[in-house]
Amino acid sequence: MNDRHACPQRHDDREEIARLLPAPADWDLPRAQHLRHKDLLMRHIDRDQAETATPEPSTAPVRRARPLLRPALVASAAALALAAAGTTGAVLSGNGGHDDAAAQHAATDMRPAAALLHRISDAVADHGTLTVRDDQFAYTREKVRGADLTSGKAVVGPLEDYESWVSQKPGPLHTLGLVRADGETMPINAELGDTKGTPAGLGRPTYHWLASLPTDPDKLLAYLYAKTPAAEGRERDQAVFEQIGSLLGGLTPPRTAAALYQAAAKIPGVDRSSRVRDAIGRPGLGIVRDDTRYGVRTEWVFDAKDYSFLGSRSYLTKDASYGKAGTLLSSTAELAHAVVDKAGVRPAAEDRTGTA
Amino acid sequence: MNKSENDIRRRVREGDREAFAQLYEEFARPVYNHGLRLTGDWSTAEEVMAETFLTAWHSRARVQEDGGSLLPWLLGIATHKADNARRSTWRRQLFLVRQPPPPDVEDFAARSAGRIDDARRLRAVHAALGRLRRQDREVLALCVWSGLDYQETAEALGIAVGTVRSRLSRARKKLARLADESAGQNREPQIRRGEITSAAAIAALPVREELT
Repeated sequence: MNDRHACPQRHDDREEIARLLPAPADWDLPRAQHLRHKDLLMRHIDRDQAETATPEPSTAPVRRARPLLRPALVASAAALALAAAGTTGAVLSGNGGHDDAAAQHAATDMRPAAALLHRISDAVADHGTLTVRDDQFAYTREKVRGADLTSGKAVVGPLEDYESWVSQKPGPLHTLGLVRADGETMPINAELGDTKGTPAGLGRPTYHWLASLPTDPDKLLAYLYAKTPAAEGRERDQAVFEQIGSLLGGLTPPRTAAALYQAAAKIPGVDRSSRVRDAIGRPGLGIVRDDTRYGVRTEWVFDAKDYSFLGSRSYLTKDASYGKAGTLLSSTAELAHAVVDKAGVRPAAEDRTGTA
Repeated sequence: MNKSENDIRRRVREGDREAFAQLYEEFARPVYNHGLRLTGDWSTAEEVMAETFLTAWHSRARVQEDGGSLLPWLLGIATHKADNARRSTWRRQLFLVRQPPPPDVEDFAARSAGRIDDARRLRAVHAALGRLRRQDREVLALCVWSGLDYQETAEALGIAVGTVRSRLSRARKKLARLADESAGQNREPQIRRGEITSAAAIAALPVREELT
């Protein structure tokens, strides 16, 4: 326990590793960058000390310039699913009543993607709202497959199980939930930059927060264009399209989901495709958008009968330094959603949804 | 322990501004490099470094009065940050499908000529590191690359010294096996420098089910 004298065998581990995988060369930031970070740190300290007399709960810390890093949960929540997605039929049966409404939309909007999104929106809007308590967790089970780009080339990984439990507490949290992937269960930690925790919001969409969004598609779209984090080199329409994808995660209030789809229909460049498949090969109706700047297509896949969300896929549409056209970048398939009381505990009998 | 080390520990605990300035000057670089090796990405490493010092400020009360250098503490925080970044990066890759090309080597070449190989090697090493379990690679980065001893590594990660040893041993075995495998597979002559290729070869091995 407390021996600091490593036996020779152990020392060999260190040396042997150093031989097998020598440390990469040291790097350093330019001095000016260092000074900038140091200055930010000092100002942060000064501000904190000025506040100590009357502690201010949530003065945002230094906002980073590159707000791209988001907690894992966004994504998992992201799973782009409808409120009751996961099982076909169970929830969306008996939607005969919506066909009229859908037909109306279709008649008034000639863009095929818009017509389909309106139909999906109508199908979704009819689901019941869930009761989700702040102390509960949104559970999602997916199959995912993604490409690892760290080597400089896209290396497509295996199909993996991905489960997540996302806390529904509104206030700033340091631990946002749990993920289980690849046999490992890990906490989801607050976003880099959120030293005081991540509150419910775009980066951590809880059911209640989603329910608080405007349900008028135009207002919602305006909100999303205003709030979606800007990132350098990123086309605005594409960013908002992806933001919508990330918000339609696991459990979404039906009216919000419906509004999100209608909002998506209004984004320029959104189209439909009939030949799409999710991560486990389920075919369906596709809503697609091309990110022309990077040559990447994103597809959302919906069940052809009941419009439930099945999954998504993205791939290169033109050759890039890290892969040829057609290379898969990511894909998902939604398997189950539920509300559970404890993080890490699967829903009983894994009932797909608590919607009913 | 060293008197000046205890002195700076006390001042850090008390929230002395100058102590943090000193801490930054002394350790920003090793923290940055640790983050870089774990994430393989320059801008993420920069973010990890900046975040590490902010978090250090907020958790200063946890610093013990007595002890050695504060580097293990900072590297422990940085390890945690890098892991967060890695996970969100993974999901970002999955979801923010506008996947930018990997960091452009040319940028660095412009900044300092002759670093292309270093950049390539960093990527290869980072990718090879990706073949290990998270816990094992964190111990490896701290104990082998950042030069912490077993005790300091244990402190940095909040684990027992015995655990440091067993993780390191597991990492060594796995790397040795991968190196053997890649030697067996790579018959073609290598074009690049040996060091780059050994790490790259490890990284390039097909992923297979781990039984151990």
